[in-house]
Amino acid sequence: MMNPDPSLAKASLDFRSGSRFFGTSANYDSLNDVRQFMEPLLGKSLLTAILYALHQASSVYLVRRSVKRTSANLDDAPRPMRVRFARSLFWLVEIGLLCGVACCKPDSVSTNDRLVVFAAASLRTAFVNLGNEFERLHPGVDVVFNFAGTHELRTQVEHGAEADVFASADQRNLRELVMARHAMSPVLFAVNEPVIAVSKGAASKITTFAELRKADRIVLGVPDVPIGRYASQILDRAATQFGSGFRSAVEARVVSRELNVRQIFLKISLGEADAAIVYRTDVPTTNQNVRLVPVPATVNVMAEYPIAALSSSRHPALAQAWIEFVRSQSGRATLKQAGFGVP
Amino acid sequence: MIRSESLNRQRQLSRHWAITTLGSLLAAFLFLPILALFATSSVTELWSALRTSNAMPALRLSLKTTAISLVIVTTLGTPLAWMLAQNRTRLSRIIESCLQLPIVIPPAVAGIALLLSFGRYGLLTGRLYPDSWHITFTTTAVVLAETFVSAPFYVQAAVSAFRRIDPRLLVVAASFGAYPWRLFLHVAIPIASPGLIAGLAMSWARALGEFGATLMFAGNLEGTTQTLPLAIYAALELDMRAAQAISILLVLAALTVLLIVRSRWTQWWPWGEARRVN
Repeated sequence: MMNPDPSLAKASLDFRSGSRFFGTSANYDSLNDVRQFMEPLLGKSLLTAILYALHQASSVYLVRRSVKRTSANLDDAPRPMRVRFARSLFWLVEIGLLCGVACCKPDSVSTNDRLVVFAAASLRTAFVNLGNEFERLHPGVDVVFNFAGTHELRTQVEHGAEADVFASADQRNLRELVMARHAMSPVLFAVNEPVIAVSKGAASKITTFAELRKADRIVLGVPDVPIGRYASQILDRAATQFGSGFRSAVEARVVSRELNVRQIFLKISLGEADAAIVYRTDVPTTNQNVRLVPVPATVNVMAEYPIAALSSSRHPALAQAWIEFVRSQSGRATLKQAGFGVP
Repeated sequence: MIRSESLNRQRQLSRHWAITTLGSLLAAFLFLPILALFATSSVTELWSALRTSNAMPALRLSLKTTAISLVIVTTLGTPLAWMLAQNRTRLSRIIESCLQLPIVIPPAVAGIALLLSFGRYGLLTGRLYPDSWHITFTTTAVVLAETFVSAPFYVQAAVSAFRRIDPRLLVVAASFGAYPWRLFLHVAIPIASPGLIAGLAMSWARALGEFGATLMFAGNLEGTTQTLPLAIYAALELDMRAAQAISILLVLAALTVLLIVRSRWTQWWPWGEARRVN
């Protein structure tokens, strides 16, 4: 079995925030918080269940009654008291159910200030840690994250998603947002280094970058996603260094162009492909199935991570505080720990 | 008396309107997003996007793979459904429920399950077939993924179609000397054919829209494993307009096939005679 990912458990409880697509809330730290949150809901759902049972019972009675009436052809007979009672009970319960459902809707207004951070998926570990620390430093502030591919996040912002901060995995997407006046004054806060991830089965065969062409099955990103673009640039530069055959030799072995870097990494860690170009932060040091081979600096390109406050932000000051916190001494340390380079 | 009757009729009428309103609400909800897909695009835009992007190879691959998976689903699914419909034991019921599981599990999980069984280090690799057959990242993998997610829809529809057959018809056919094979091929299938065709249409549509399992299990390489939904998602990274154009292509392709299948045209098919007798 896979290790249970605590962030997943958090995400599933995230409906309290009232919006569907926020990936992780750094809010429910311990089981205790979860229980506190669940208890009132459980009470309400018990009430709802009782009302529902009443609804079922009365409706079953009514339906049976009407079936009996039609079969006996008693349409014109006056309705007995019992039926009238059942009818009114039915409608009362219906109204009660409606109210119950309305009450069960969790409070959408939180007393705390909510800072909504849209961040590239590769930032997950670093940002969740930073979020916990930020909440400690600013009591009364909830930091809520939405982790996804940068392009997906950009589309959400362009279509009116309300967020305070946008942390992008490449310059291009944020530049587009700035040009459309959705974001302002981006700053570079981290860099990420493309590396070669080699599956366990091919680890002895591929130990240096030049041996990439020995791999039988290579997985890269689609040229339109950042990691695919970087891979293409790396291969271009490698062609000048290792001869023009290098690029075509590698591209002949490409068996798939994945749509995001997590998909690429999955194919390597399952051993389906031999080698792939991913970010350094994607390869956990604890993963036994994947070996990491660095790309020489002469060939490599750096992925630049800019961050910016969004113009739709409701807490501009808080957004600015988050950006400064990420670039502070402790923020840099956390990013470094997750494998990022800091400028 | 008369007054109460007219009151009753009025009430019935207002209830009729309630049904219409409620029904059209859902219909509108289902139609409007697809209409929006068409309304916010223009023909010239569509044409240019289709010519520049990789839509055509993807469409060709999608049609090819769904056709193959449809053949697999029909040839293996029909006997299975007949078997399940004939057996009314508890075991067959449990099997029937388990066969619906691929509908429930998220497609991405289905993809991982396929990887764990047919992948390079999968459970079946080396046991059921030699190691040297690489299935992942090939067109075969696309077909497998589509079959996996779409077959349950057909089997479900086929089981209920076979169950709806009047058992007396089967008894009569058997008393005239129809052996099980003939009973199945010449009596049961013709009678159940409307249900079977509807099931096939559902299952084909599901296979055409298959995304998650294919992405996980087969990857995404133009011409080999990039089906239409994958092409749409890949285009979304670059240009929403192109993605929209390919989506319209997908909708049109699906609409054509579904309309043909659901139309009266199916009555001209060879087994139309048997249906009319029924």
